[in-house]
Amino acid sequence: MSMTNTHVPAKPAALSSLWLMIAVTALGMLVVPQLILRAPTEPTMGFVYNIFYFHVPCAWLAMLGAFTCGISSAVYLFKNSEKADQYAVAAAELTVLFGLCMIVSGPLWARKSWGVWWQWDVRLTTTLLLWIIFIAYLFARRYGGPGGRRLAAGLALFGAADVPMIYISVSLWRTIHPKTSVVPSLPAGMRPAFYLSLCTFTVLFVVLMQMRLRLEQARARYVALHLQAQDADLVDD
Amino acid sequence: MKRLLLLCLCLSGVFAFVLPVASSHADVAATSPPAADSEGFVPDRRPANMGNVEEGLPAGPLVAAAYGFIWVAALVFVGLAARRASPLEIDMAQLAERLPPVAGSRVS
Repeated sequence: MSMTNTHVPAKPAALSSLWLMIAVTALGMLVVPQLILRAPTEPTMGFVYNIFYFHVPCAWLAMLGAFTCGISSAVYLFKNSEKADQYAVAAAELTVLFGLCMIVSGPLWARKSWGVWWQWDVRLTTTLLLWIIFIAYLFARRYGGPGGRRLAAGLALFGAADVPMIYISVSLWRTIHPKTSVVPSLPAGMRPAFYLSLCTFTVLFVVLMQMRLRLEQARARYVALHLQAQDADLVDD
Repeated sequence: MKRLLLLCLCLSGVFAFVLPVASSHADVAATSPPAADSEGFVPDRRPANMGNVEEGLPAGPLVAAAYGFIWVAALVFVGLAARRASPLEIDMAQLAERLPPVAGSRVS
């Protein structure tokens, strides 16, 4: 193990990240709702269809987070990369966050369009399973003891394997959930609102990922500093 | 304190802007009845599997609630991350002050 005297002061909170978050939030709150309200109303479901413009981006980003966590966890398991583990935990938290947004917005839409809050069809069930897997990931890291990180990384591999199942479920089985062909076949009037909403949420994902990564990197620096302090007998074990 | 003020600003923006706009649009949509044909029948455009839909359920608050929840959740996430980072930065600064300012030594 190599140790260097790296007792530099902690980096201040990245102000540029915070300002980018503010800009994304402002764009999201001001511009995207305007575009959504100006987009043509879907003739069958009416106004409630507007939930589509943020439900779908949340779903895609939850799956992106799950995939990122799965790949990072695989790198951590097989190459013992601490950096990959940092990416994995950050992506897992974002998967839980965007998964929660998807699971809340979906039933609000379903109550109006299907008449029920929830249906145990394949798409909804596998999505709920994905969310639960990554909650279990976070619990395993928090309470799993010395081997918790490796246990959680193993869970993340199962979660990542669920992602393609979620995507193709509506094609393989008869479900009440709309098909994946909805987005490619969007009417022209709906595309600006949808794609701007998707871009806004993707930037939000990247910014949150960046903020979360900085926290993990700060923790790693703290551990290194603490070890140095222990070696210098400045702190107790 | 700055982050708390930012959080309050964003929350007030969500509830002050999105909810009234969404509700007003839903009210307009709800009050425009479909046109009847020559025999007086009003066409039912619902798909066959929508027999249980409560037509009286307002769509505007549902849309606003979904959108507002997403932003509140994101801001809570940011707040929690900032809350975890603050004591860490303080502890790191304190440790850095206590460590002796010696030249780097490598032990491999």
